[in-house]
Amino acid sequence: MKLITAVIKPFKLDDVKDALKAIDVTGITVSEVRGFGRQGGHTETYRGAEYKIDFVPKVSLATVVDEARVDEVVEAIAKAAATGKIGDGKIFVLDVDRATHRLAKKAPTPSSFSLFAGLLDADASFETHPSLRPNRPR
Amino acid sequence: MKLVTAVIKPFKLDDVKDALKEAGSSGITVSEVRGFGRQGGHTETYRGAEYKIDFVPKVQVKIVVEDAAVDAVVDAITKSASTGKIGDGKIWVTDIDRIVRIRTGEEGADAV
Amino acid sequence: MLLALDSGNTAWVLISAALVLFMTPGLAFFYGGMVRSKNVLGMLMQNMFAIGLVSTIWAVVGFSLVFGDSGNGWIGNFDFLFLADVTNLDGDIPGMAFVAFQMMFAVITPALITGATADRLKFGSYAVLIGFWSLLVYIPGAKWVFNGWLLEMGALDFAGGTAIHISAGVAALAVVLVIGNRKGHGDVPMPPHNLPFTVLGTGILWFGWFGFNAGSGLAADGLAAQALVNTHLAASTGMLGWLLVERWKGGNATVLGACSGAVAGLVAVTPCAGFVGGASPLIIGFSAGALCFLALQIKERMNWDDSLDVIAVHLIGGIVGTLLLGLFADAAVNPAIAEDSSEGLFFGGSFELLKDQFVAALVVGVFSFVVTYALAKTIDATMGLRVGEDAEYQGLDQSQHAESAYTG
Repeated sequence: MKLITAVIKPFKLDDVKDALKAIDVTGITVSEVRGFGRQGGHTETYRGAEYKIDFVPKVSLATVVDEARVDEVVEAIAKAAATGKIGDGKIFVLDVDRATHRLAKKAPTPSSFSLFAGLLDADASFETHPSLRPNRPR
Repeated sequence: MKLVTAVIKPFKLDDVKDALKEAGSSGITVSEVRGFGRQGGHTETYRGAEYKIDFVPKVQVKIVVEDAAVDAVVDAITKSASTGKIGDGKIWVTDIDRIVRIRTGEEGADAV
Repeated sequence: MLLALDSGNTAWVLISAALVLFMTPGLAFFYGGMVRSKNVLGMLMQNMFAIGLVSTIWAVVGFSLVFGDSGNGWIGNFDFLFLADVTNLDGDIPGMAFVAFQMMFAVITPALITGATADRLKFGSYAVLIGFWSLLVYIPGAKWVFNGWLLEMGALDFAGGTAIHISAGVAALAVVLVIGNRKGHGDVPMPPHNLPFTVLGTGILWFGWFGFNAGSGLAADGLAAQALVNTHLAASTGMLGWLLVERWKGGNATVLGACSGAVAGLVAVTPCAGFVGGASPLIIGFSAGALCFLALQIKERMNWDDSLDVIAVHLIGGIVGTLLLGLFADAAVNPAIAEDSSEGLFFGGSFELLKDQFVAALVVGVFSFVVTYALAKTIDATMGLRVGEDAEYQGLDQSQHAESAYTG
């Protein structure tokens, strides 16, 4: 089992999602992140004083797949996310020691783990991870 | 190739960024996260009813580095993110099997 | 023999009171947008709280100390304690309408200071600060300018350039000197967290300012219309002046610049609103927009963390308006100028009015600085003016109010 994480340009998210759907990867976890790299940032002004915003908005997506499918998925993401310009992003592949699936009774398929990829990443157990519980009155 | 992940106090992000720039790192990815740990949360009040917010806002920083540079990067983060108080955060290092630069398709060290 | 009430004037003054009240929440959003997200509730709260506290002080003793007929030009008396007997005030509007209108001015004045001390002022200390500030600084200043010796001397102030903007602007500086700079000031950028709030606040301030200035004649007449148009034109050219200098200095025309310039124009036209006409409001607003932008340099040079530029916008804007009135006051617009004072230098007068304006600005400014500094020092020594380091990092919302502005 491998965790594939990609950091991409935000407006490419839909293309990437469609490309992954097309190869039957049905689950991804997406978060808004900021990146600092070769693309550089931009300058903003606050009442005459300029300051540099180094961080550029990016989207990070994570999915857990079977080892056999890693190449296919990486390629699909790379192709869909590329614009040919600096700042297109990166894809990392990491080992997943263990994946547990508690919400569905049926045997897990690799892509259904991907919903929890962010949690796996932080090495937390699903059952006790506090973010799954409501923590304040409504 | 290693992935260095650090969870730090949000206001330390600029210091950490500068320290990483100095250490020669060419890129980092940052996300706003919430953490639950020894630092504890705080109490909020809503029309007289108190409730506990266990999660403390944190910033998560990710950097991909070559094996040889791991110690320098971890060192740079440790120094720049530290305030000496509870809740300064953690750093962990994981293996990366493979890395691709999306624009060019380059892999491995070329892609860092 | 009491004058007969005029229903038109009464209606306009009551509506103006409501308009001026609305300026304080407007100011809250104007400032609230500019602070960091962890401090936005703290900023909104400081402004809203001023409505509650200062209105109470005003009803108990404030109005009486400004408008009680003590026979001297320095301080009123206790005739109108708890608003007793205000119905006996002579005029063609009810005394209570005048009380309401003046109350809203007393409320917004200390609230102006909050922009300078953003992100670090302890809430309890803030409450004590503005309570005593109202009693010790605003009330005497308002008495001198609206109903006392500065007015008799011949200084003109239609709606509060000196007693409100110069007084609050100088007080802001005094408190900043005592409380010190924000942690990380000058090292880390502290950009506004929600500029749309600031635009919203600017719109509310602009709208409310029509009551502030055009209501100050206490009548629904031609002078009110003139004051309203003057107010609007100065805000408009204030915006243009700020943006042009901003561009000329090599920057972009920013949204915050447009808002700041409009407010600078509004501040400067405040003392002038019912005394000038023709092209004068255009010139006054434009000068204020341009000069207030340049005045941003003051805090940089002096390393004062006047966080949201109360000095550049209110103090400098107030001074620009107060002094320009010495040039542009026109008896053709307001005959009272010829009767009670002297005309502006460019409108048939001498240096007399300019001198009086200068004296009024200086007296109010120095008085406000000395008393505010002493007050802030006293509070700092007893209960502490500033939140602790951890609370400052955590933000005022959580540390002072146990609330968060933005939760999921």
